[in-house]
Amino acid sequence: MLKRPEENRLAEVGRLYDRLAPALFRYAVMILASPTEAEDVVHRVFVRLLQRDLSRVAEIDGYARRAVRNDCFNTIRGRRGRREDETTPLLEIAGAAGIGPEERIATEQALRELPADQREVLHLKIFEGWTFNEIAALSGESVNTVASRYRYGLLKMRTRLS
Amino acid sequence: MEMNDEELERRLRTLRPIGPPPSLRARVLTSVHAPRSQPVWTWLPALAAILAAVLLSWRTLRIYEDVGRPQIEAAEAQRQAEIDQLSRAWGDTDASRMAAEDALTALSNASHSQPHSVTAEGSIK
Repeated sequence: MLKRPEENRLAEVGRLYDRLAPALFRYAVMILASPTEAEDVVHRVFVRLLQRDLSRVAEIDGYARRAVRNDCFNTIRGRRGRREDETTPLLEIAGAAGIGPEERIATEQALRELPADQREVLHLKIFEGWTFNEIAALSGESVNTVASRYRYGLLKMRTRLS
Repeated sequence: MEMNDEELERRLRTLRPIGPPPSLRARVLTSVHAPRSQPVWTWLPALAAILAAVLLSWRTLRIYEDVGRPQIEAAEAQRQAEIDQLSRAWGDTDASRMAAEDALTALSNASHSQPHSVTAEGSIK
C-alpha cells in the first residue's frame, strides 16, 4: 500500500508524463529515426527530471525539451553499427484524408535518409508548427542556419520522392 | 513527377510521428518507486569512521613498533643474558641452563617483575 506522499508524487508524475511525453517522444523519434532509442531517451529524461525538485525547475517544458534534444544527439554520437529498429514505422496517418501506405513508406524512407538536424527542423516546423525563430532559440543556431536546414531537408526529400 | 515544397509539406501534414508505446508510461512511473541511489554525502560519516579506525590501528601498530617491541626485545635480551650468566656460574651444562631458566621464571612469577640482579658468582639478588 502506498503512503500518501508517494501516491501524490505518483499522480504528479503521471500528469506530467501525460502532458509532456507524447510530444517529447515524437520529437525524439524524428531526430533519432528510431522508436527504440526514443523510448530510452524519454525514459532517461524523465528519470533525471524526477530526481529534481519539480517545484524548483523553472519552465519544465523547455527544460525537458532541451534535455531530450541533448540526449538524442548524444545518442547519435554514441551509435555503433546498425540499429535493430530500422524498419519500425516512424510515421502514422494523421487524419482521415491521409495518403496511401506506399506513399507513407516512401515519405518515411526519404525522411530517414536526412541528417538528424534537418529531420529535427522539419519536425518542429511541420508537425509542431514552430517558427524558425523558436527552433533557433532551442537549437542555439542562427535563424538562417535553421531555415537552410529546412530548405535542404525539403529539397532532399523532394528529390528522393520524385 | 516533381513535387514542389508546398505539396511535400501538405503530404507530410497528413502524417505524424508515432506516439510513445503504452509500456513507456509504466516504465517511467516504475522509476518513481525505484529506490534512488543515495547521494555520496550520505556515505561520508561511515567512510570517515572506517578511515578513522584504519588510521587508529595503523597508528597503534606504529607505536607498538616504536616503543613496545624494543622494550620486549630488551627484556628478553636481558633475560637471556641472565640465564647465560647463571648457567655459566652453575657449571655451564644443559642442566645448569635449565635450572637457571627455572630459577629466573620462578623469581619473575614470585616478584611480579620487581627488579632483581644476577651476580657473576651465580646468585640472584
